[in-house]
Amino acid sequence: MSDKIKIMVVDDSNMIIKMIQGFLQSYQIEIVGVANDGQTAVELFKKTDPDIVTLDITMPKMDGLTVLQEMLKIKDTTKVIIISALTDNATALKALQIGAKDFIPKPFKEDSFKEVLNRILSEN
Amino acid sequence: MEDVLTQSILLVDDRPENLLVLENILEMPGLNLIKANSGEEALRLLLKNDVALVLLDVQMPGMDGFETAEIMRSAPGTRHIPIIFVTAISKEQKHIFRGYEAGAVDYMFKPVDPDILKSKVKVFLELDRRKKVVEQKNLELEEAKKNTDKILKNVRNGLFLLDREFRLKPQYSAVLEKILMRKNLANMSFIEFLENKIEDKIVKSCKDYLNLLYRESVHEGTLDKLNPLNDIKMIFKSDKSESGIIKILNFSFRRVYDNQNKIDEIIATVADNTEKITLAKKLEESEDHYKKQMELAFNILHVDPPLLIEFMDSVQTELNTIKKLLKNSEKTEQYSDTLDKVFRSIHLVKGNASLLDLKFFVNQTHEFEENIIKIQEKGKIEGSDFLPLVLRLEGIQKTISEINSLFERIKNIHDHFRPKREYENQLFVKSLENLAKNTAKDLNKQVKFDYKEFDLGNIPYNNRLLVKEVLIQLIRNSIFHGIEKSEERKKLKKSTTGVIALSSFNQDKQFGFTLKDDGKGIQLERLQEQAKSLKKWKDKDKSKWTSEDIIDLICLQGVSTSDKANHVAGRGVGMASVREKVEKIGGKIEVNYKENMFSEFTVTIPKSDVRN
Repeated sequence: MSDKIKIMVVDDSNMIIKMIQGFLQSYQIEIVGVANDGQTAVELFKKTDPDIVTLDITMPKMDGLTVLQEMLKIKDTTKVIIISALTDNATALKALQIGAKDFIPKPFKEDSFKEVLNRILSEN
Repeated sequence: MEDVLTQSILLVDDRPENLLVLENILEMPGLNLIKANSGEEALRLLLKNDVALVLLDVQMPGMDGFETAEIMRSAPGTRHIPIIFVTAISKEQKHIFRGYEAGAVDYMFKPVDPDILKSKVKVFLELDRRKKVVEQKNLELEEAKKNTDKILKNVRNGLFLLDREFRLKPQYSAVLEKILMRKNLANMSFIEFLENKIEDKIVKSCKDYLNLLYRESVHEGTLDKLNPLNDIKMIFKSDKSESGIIKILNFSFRRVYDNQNKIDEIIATVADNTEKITLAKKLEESEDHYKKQMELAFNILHVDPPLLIEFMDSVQTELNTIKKLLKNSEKTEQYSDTLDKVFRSIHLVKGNASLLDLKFFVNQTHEFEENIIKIQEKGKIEGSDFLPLVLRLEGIQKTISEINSLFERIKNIHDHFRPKREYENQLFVKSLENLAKNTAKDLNKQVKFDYKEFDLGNIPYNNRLLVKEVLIQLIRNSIFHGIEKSEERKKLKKSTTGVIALSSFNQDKQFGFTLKDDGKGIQLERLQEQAKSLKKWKDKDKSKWTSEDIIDLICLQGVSTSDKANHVAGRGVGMASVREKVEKIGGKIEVNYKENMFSEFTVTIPKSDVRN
């Protein structure tokens, strides 16, 4: 694969988006899209066709699980990393059931983010 | 020890010369060559020998190579033995090799190329060797399993296996039945087990979780974080009773893979953490307790150590008195009297505590007093009424021992900072001033405590506590009954701030002190009124009252010029008790007053038993 891996970051918190952008700097990964709400995320997903998506599960306009379903409907090989509060494990389990690849509980540190990302990248 | 594995190859050909050729090619150390002239003989030999590979001639009279292979495939002992067919038929006819997909099958054409044969055989032997190692491992595993079964009986954690339907497999640790409070767990549905013991929501999560655990694409580490049965509170209800046993169980789940790297089952462990968590809670509570102790410590750090020691001694004395009283009051007639005496003791402790500004103690003793008042108001006193008092007493005793142990610990600090003699005087009067301030504040009055004329040096060391007790009582009485509120004082053209003055004296044979306040003096009418209503005072002309009579009146149980009993004074109880003490060592309390001008109490104590 000569093309760079494409990632999209979806989170209603711009701070978390910035943080993830920072984490991604050391990777050969192109951030093709950033979205603050579910609806925008799905639209952007269609346009940019990312390989990996980090997805906040609680978001305005369209909840994370629906967004996840929509994305996988469009391309079921998309690797979606769910980001959610640790207190909402039931939703995280549901997301994994639907087809999310992995899960990072909030709040997270660089290490745990990279651990999950590395795992996903190594599966290619 | 790495033992050299001897492997056997079975050579099957109806022609001896062909067997000889194969023998020549394959002769090598560690390899045992077994020869058979027919399919039948081959099968017979296979039963007896552990064979790594069969070289099988296809065209033989009787049972041909294919038929032989077919039979080998059907028997469990020979099913997995690889076969190399050796045939003379042309390559074009190779389609007749009916798909032997299962197991290892190869073929060679005659004339056999020795090098190719050798290398092929080597591959198969290597495979066999590996298989043997695996078998050995399995044997070990089998052994290990037996051992584990033994261990399973002894481990403290419950161990069990869940199949794809989340049912328990028959092997589980003995303790599991105890932890899950159910027998015969084999085949039990884990989900059904969870139902009604935890919230439905969590049962659902658990189903999701176990489903995902069986889904290979989901990383196990990811799921670890999502285990819904982490220290889960479960309620085990028996069929009959409404309430159940509550346990805190910690489940954890791991995948078990088979040798094809597929998830075979889930191994689960469960630990009963009820005790552990209860312990942790207890620890938290004890930390709370520790915090309270810290407060206590700060509280008593403010107190001058000798004073504190005296205080503690006096409290202990009073507590012992109360205990004795409670123990000895067996007759119903005594109850009322006992209650009065207990109240007196506790009231004294309260006074001392409020002097030293030990708020926790003041509160504790005040609650105790309230309790007594409630019982008194009830009228008829029963033995069971004393029970809460005993409990409260234990509470106070506990506080005392806590202060004692705290005090022991901080004593060293104090020893270094032991106040100098002139400073002791300061401490003594300052603590009284504190009391006066606090009491006045509580009553919304303004009071100035004047101690210029007081010298602690006038009071022998061993009488200081008594003097203090008396002073506490008198000061409180002064503020409560003597000093008027500011507005009232204004009307009387007095300064809005009342003054309480303390002075001391030390003469040849006696010492003592005088406390004078510029309040309303002694209100004889009111005292008399109350005394009458309580039928505790003979009808006596108040104009003939002596100082002693007035002191008597003040000291009478239940007499107080204040109608409502509160924290600060009232009921004259404290007075009676200090008077008793003063008189016990031959001293006396006198009163002098002028209505609306002042009241003055003088305590005189003979020096006879004084050593300084």
